[in-house]
Amino acid sequence: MLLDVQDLTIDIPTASGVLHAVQGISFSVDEGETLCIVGESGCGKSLTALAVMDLLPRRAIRAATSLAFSGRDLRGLSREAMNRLRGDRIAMIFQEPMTSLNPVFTIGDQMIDVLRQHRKVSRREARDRAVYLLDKVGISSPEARLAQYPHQLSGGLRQRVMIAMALMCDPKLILADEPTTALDVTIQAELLRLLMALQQEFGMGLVLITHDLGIVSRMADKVAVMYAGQIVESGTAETIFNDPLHPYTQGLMACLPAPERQRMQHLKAIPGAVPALVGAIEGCRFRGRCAHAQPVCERDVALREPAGAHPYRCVLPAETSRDNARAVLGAGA
Amino acid sequence: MSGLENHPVVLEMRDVTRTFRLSRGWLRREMLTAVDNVSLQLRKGDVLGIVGESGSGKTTLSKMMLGLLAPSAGEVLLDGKPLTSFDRRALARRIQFVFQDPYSSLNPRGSIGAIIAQPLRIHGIGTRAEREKRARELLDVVGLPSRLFDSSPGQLSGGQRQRVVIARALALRPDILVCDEPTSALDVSVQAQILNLLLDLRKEFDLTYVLVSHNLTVIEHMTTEVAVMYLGRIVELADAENLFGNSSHPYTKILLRSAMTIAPGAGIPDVEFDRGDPAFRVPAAARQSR
Ligand SMILES: Nc1ncnc2c1ncn2[C@@H]1O[C@H](COP(=O)(O)OP(=O)(O)OP(=O)(O)O)[C@@H](O)[C@H]1O
Ligand SMILES: Nc1ncnc2c1ncn2[C@@H]1O[C@H](COP(=O)(O)OP(=O)(O)OP(=O)(O)O)[C@@H](O)[C@H]1O
Ligand code: SF4
Ligand SMILES: [Mg+2]
Ligand SMILES: [Mg+2]
Repeated sequence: MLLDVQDLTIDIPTASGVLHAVQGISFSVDEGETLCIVGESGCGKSLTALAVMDLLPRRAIRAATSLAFSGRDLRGLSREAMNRLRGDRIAMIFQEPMTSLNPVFTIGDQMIDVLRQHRKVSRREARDRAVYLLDKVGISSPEARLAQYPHQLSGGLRQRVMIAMALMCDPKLILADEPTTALDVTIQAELLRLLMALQQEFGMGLVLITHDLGIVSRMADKVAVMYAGQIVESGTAETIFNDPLHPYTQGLMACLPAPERQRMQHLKAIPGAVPALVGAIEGCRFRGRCAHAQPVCERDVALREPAGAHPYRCVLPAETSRDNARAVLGAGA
Repeated sequence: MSGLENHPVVLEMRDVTRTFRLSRGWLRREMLTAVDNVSLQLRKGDVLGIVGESGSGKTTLSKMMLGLLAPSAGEVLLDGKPLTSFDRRALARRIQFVFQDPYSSLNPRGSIGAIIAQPLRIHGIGTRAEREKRARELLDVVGLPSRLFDSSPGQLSGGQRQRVVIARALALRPDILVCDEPTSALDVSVQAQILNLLLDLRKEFDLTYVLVSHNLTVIEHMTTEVAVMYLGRIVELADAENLFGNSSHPYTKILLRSAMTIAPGAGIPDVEFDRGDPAFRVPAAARQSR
């Protein structure tokens, strides 16, 4: 197993109390496997990835019963050891290209640096690899781009630079946080195909955080749906999309604009907002927005896996959930 | 037909071009034409969608509409008058923007309340108390809990920040809003809320939109007209219904083919094409005059 995360918790002390940003999530990624994480804005997806990279905000407190990469426990690793791993064996593509690209250095310098930090190669060799990868991610005249500064690139170019940079050292695992959101669909398709090819060729594992359910359905081996710091449903892409059991997952699928939905008309939205995760929290995190909430939902709900279903965190029996899905999503579900 | 053909033209671009110098050396001075001779008209109530290649000039075009970037050639007209004849403040009251990147567009040190009220402050509108009240209203309009009023952007998720950006853009009650990828950082339920908000605002305040997005289903759902850009040019401009129904341009066709609908296990469409093919740069037959 490439990455094994058990019971990961992230607390962030804030002025108004401790924010329980991530509350005991578990997942794993095998070689060559793609895990997609989807979920509400602010539910803790980015923090989860940052926790694996040991790049959480300074105040954040991370705990886990297991946090292992290729069998190696990441929890007790020294800063130096983690620095060696990061950008080399594990690479991250950040959601915020502008904050992870240094504005005062050229693209070329930054790419070359990444490789030379981890490998004994000449500048020339590093430069060649940078050019090769920029070309791979579909950037025209890569040589000229090397001399450019991040602010001179379009949003999409920056994101491609980030992807190329993540690939500099041939990582075993990539944590990609919204890697293709700023890209047009043709380039998105090309890059995703590139990532898939690398996975097949080198057994690279991929954790893909994205809001794009279309991509999830097509890329994922496994899907984890997060809500308010917890995983509320997980399974293969097929089960999640064809048999969504959690009311939140069903809600997500219902609010997509789609050709068959009437133009310029309101989309279905999930009413309300995510609960504050500060201080003591109890019960189903989704109950304030759930059409099926009942008194029992005020008690904590465990992620459970009844016979004939995949894991989901809801008190409703699978059969009831399936009826609801049919009502919300139509006969297809 | 979008039914808006009798509405007045509010914003017009005439043969607008913008070039940048690509290489920094003294010897090789490569010029890059980011926007290449673009003309378009925006009528009151229009929602103009702009789609196209990454790097095809959508943001550059948007910035020129906003007067944030000067065209190298051609002109931009607001109500028939050159954009350059408006001062910054007058312009800001007419036309506002929501940019692609919710991370870099917010001052990390301001409080959310202060950020939303900032345009009001700059324009000297209202008393301090009135501005605060308006900022709280706006927070509510974009669906953010009032407890975030005193938070800083660093404590917000991407989606929450984008709502702050929209709230700030609405503070001056502009009548044109240019949104560059307003929902690309958002999950689909928040996206639905924001799109519904944009639809409501359009009805309520008679807003005219420019909506830049890579998400074709969003464009299809939200727009009256669509411009497809490729290498700085508008290669196709059509009513939204027409474009998605029967597009005539080869690049548009590829674009539509690469859209990733939900299809478990279907894999990623293989849409590799020769970006250098000159056929892609030739605009589709001019749109029927409306
Ligand atoms: N440095 C920080 N200080 C305080 N709170 C933070 C900090 N960073 C993140 N948070 C909070 O932690 C929660 C999870 O944030 P995270 O960035 O992981 O969300 P996300 O799921 O990636 O959202 P999005 O889809 O919008 O990117 C959010 O409520 C956010 O406001
Ligand atoms: N300040 C600048 N200096 C040099 N080149 C620039 C500058 N701003 C933009 N460009 C270039 O102009 C072209 C168009 O960029 P623009 O940001 O308008 O593209 P876009 O269509 O918005 O792309 P994306 O979908 O990736 O956001 C790109 O090649 C970009 O690198
Ligand atoms: S546990 Fe209750 S509130 Fe939570 S999703 Fe299920 S039915 Fe809704
Ligand atoms: Mg995030
Ligand atoms: Mg752009």
